[in-house]
Amino acid sequence: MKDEHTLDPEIASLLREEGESLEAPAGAGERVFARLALTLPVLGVAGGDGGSGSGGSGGDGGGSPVAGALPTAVSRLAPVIVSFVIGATTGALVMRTSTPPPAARTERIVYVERPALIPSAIHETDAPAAVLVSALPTVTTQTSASSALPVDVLAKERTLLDTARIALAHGEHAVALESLQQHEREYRSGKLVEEREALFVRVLADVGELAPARARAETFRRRFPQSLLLPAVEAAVVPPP
Amino acid sequence: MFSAEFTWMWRTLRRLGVAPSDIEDVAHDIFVQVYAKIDAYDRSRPVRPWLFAFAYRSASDYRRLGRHREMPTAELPEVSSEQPRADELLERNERAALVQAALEMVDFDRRAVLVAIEIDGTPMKDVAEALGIPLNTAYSRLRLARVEFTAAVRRVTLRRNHPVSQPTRGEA
Repeated sequence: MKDEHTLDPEIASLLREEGESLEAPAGAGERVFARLALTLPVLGVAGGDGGSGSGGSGGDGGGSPVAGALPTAVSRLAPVIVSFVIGATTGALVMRTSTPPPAARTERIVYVERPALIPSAIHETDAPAAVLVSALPTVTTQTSASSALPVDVLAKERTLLDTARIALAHGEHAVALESLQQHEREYRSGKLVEEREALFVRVLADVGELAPARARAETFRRRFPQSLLLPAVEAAVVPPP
Repeated sequence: MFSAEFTWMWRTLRRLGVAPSDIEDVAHDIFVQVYAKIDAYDRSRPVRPWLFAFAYRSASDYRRLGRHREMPTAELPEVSSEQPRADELLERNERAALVQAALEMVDFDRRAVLVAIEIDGTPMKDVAEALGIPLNTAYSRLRLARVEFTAAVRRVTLRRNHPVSQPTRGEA
């Protein structure tokens, strides 16, 4: 349909190969399954066939996927649970019999002198003045974009501009513009504004939008007179001879 | 379903940016939800797009918590090598790490489409339905994701091959 930009074959093969190397750690599945076997009955989650007695057949065909396997897991875990309960009970009994009873406490009365300086009363004037909560200054919560760490922000900015640059090189002007506009929306005064504006001029000039390209080029010239990107920006809006 | 799809779910969550140390917790929560909603699953249709919707939502929630956020970085993450035996395995792991680092740099929503299409081979219609987005949006996200991913792979490779280093005193 609109699948005109396909992945470079080398990059596509990278993606395909990645799946073979990405393995879950040994025993991860068993651990999660054991937790599910304990969690689901406790939560009383109703799913699939719902009943605890309906999953005897197992597999995907009949009952719910997890329910089918649950009885097996529970039966596997049963000896462990029984051993745990027996062990815990025995341990508690042993501890109780081996621990000597606490010695009878004899009460002792200790006389303490009254501190010399105890304020007899708290004057009202000493108390802090009451403040209305609504009168307190509000704390502005940071948005997720502004709370992100600088490294994160810079990487994101860089990704957007790289996307625009590559799209421009591939003649994908719509993608390039979309990426630049996104950068403008999210990082209006970001670290890479100079680069964005230079790219903007080039993309606009490339698609024949010369008037806005020249306007942006002029702004760029005023804003970044010493920019290394200025020659490229000016060259982009020079009318062909 | 659990035993058949757990490894796939693990990989999918990793690709969607869940840290390896948290994947078991997230996967557990997902399968609890799956079990609760299993009645809504149409058995005549493939299961992965349906499961992908759970993975996408959970990974999205997970990433919203700041403490889980992974820094996009040119440093390659370590990939566990359970069978350290041959050079080719190491190379394969390195390539997988490169893919993960590059994926991490792609916008999350676009990355989800890229993973579902390019890695899982899910039809676009199913992806759009799983993510709850219009078909055109899904295509647009895929297009942008491909460009972003290509850029990210090149950048990571470049930094890996030419690490930025401080010039020493004697250098001109």
